[in-house]
Amino acid sequence: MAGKIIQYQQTKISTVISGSASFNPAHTSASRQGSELITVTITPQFANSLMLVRFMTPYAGETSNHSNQVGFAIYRNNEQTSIQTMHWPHRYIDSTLPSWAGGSNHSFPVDLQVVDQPNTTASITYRVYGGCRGGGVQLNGMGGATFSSNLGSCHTLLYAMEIEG
Amino acid sequence: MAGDLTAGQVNLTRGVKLPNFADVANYPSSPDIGLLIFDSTELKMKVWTGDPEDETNPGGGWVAVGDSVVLGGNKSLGFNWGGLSTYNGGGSSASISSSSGPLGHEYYSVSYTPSSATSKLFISVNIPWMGETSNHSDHFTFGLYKDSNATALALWYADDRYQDNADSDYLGSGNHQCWLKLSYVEDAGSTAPRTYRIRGGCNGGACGINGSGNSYQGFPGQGTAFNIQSNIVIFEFEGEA
Repeated sequence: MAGKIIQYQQTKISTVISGSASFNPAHTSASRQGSELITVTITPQFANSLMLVRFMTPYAGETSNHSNQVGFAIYRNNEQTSIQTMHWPHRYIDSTLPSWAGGSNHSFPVDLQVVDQPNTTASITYRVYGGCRGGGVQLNGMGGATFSSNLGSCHTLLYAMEIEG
Repeated sequence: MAGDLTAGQVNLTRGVKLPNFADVANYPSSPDIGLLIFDSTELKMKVWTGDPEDETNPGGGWVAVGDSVVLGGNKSLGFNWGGLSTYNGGGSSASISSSSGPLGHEYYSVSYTPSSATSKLFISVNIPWMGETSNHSDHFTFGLYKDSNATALALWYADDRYQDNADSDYLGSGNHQCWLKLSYVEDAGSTAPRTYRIRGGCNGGACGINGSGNSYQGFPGQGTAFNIQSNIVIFEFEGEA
């Protein structure tokens, strides 16, 4: 059984993040899908440590009205095969499209976690890639629709926590 | 080096002896940042960080060397996790309208033995990709269960609806897909071992996790593009004194 938290590293972005590449969940070869959206770097103190990596975004969606599916993947360093993947064909019913959504009719929150066992003390960069099936994805907003700054900010967070192995 | 190192005893054959203090009430007053002492009651080295208002540590700005300290002063005492990295097609159905539990199919579990009865157990569950095994349902119901209890610690429900015929090729005959994130905190209560179980299903049939429908029942066995992990993690945090 593992034990104590050894260290915690995070990246938080409070502005709109836009990707342009699409994400194909049917892809079968080792190459990244979507665009790089946020990264966090951590250097493990021990080779047998566990890494709890968690990605959270409260408000994401299409960059324009081009898709009906979204996917996210977490990659380690420059590897081309993900260590964690999600896919969601979240569909907003067209006929009840809210006016604030502009020309984009798919939006969603994401909360994704993975336990990694990198087995190294070398620096690791965890990279979150994402995209919609037919185009880019946007975080902390979608399709140009964001919260008024008078209301506050959305925060997209990626953290890596080293846990005693 | 005179003045750079002040210690209770420096001896080439016996090492460096730190000044001893019993309990935080007897620590030095007006310490310099970086002052290192030894608490003879806790048997821990302590360093003064210079912040008397530091609420992340039980001793204010006195931090025990080597300790990890999180969540408002509560130390992490333990961690365990479990999960699945392959597709699981589930079994029985689960519905929000069911009258008794436990609901549905058990997908995976993790066991944990708290080190203290006063600890808080923080439990976080993630299933990043799940869906109907065929087109039979319109909602998902999952629960976090402990041991063989019929009543869930925490229930989760979604009626996520995929637009019919919008893109059926990858979903096969299943047209509902979803993902789950569930967090729960409970008092350890005892130091007895316990097992936390993830159970659930669709209202009209089985729910597959780490994939969906027909086309993705083999996920992630369709090449080398993706790995996937449905998981449950448990942190044990020291309870408030």
